[in-house]
Amino acid sequence: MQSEKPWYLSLALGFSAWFAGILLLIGFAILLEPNSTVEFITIGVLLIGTSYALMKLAKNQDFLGQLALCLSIVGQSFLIAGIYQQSSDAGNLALSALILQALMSVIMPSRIHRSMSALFAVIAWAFWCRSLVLGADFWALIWQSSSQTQMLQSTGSLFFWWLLTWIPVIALCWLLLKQTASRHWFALFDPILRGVLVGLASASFISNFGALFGAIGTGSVAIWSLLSAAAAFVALIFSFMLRSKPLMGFSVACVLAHLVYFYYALDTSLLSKSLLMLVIGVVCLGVQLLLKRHSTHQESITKSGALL
Amino acid sequence: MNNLNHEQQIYPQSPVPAPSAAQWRAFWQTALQSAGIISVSAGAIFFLAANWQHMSRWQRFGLFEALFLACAVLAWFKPASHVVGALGLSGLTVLTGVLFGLFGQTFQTGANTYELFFAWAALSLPFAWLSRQPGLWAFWSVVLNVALALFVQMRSQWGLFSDFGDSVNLLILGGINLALAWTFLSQLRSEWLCRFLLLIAAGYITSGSIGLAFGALNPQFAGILYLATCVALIVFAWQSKPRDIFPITLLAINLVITSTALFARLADMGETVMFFALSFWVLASSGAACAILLGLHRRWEINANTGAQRS
Repeated sequence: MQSEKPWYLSLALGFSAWFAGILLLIGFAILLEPNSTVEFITIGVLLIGTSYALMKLAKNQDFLGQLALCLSIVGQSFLIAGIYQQSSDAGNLALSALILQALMSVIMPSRIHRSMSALFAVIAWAFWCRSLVLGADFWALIWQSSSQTQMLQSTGSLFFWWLLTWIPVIALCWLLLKQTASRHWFALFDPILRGVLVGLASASFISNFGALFGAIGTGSVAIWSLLSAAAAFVALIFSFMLRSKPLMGFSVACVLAHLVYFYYALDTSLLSKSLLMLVIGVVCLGVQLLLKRHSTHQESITKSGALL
Repeated sequence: MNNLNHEQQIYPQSPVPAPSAAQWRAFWQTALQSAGIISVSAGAIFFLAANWQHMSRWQRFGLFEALFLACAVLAWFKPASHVVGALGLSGLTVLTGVLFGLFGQTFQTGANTYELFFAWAALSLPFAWLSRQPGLWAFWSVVLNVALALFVQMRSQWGLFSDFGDSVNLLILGGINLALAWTFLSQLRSEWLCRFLLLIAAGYITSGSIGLAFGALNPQFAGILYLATCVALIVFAWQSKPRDIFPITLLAINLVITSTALFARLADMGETVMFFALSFWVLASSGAACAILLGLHRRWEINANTGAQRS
């Protein structure tokens, strides 16, 4: 007889492990006081190695598994900090993070870790694409000023950069979905696919949050949000194909978040926005009714064909 | 006996078949219907907001009172178990608060915000009681908790969220939520509503116990209240049918957090040693709590399954 561990117990254990891991690492950081790139990278590699060993030992252990996850994330942070010490070029940093996360998503023994690494890889990809447009300054990339947003003011260039960033991610999702249909590759690619889908739904928001606070009322930000809502809807479709309710729920939340921001950033009156929402709502309901009638008609034809 | 961890509960073990044509049709119909309803509702609300400044006070009151009357008619003619009746009662509960807010905004009476929420909770109590819906009771509980929290914030010496608040008041709020949880469990048999209120209670109790650990007013009285709430959580778990480790899990989390806070306050160590000591304390106490909770969970599950087989 199976006895499943209650989800709230797993959650509580996870939080305890993270809290203990962070305290432990603050202690180590104070004790060791790394200064140079070599020290940061050495500590990072040791932590990731320890995490790998713990994950191999963890098996059904929530506590050890979460502790290993915590150590891995901090280890990766030390690695990135070491690379930042060497070069503060945002593009190089994003590319290094992308390569690191792509490797982690394949190598690490924990499925949750591999999904998380895939998500971080998508975020790093988005930042790298932004650095190609907005330049190499690290903090300018995070907190995008309104003057930098002016660079994207032309709708054509914005659309081009959105396609450049997100079409490869959508194509990757499609490829991974095809691979996971095979039992042979399922175990390897399924966690990565789930992480990439979370990234597709939310990474546009995460990587653009500086602009969201700095450039309210400009048309470019509103269009970006609308395109991001479309990407999140594509993530919803893929999640439906995976029959994953948590992913579908997350994608729906992201679609709504992007749409809320679209309407907030839209440079027009509240009355115009309300009329736009009413029209779109009526159109959606109308199309839904048409689809329902069409499917009912199809079903009645199929039934009468079967009877004959 | 397999003991699946959380990761194994999230990820499937094998590929799932592609959706059928009928499933795709259902997906698109649900997506379009949901998008349509949300868009129309949001559009209506924003249309109202856009014209709000141009409406006279009588138009504003008239609109919401007409909605209130419409919900009352729905609730009168359809039973609470019917979806229309339930919607009517839910609408009455929400609109009671909206009307109070509108009244307070239009006629500046100088009333405190907590008085508005207490009045809202009091007047919407009959609607929640008639509905017997856990969702509506959850909403009503949130309104009551907001009223109590605002009242405590106004009346307590330090305020609710500074210096960990007044421990005694926080523990009393935790006790009130425990009593509500017990009432709903025995009257409505709703597990999720009971757990929701236990979670709120645990939040208040933990805030109160952290305040106690770092030094609070009336520490003896606060200590007795804290002990009483801990015993109440254990009794809750034991008296539930079937027995549930959720209240004891909350108690365990509280004990780990409170003991860590007490350790941080009382231990006289250097900064580096303190972080190591705290992390080992959290690891040890969490590990011990986990072992006890898992053992209890398995024993109660076996007893519950044995009892079910006999019957």
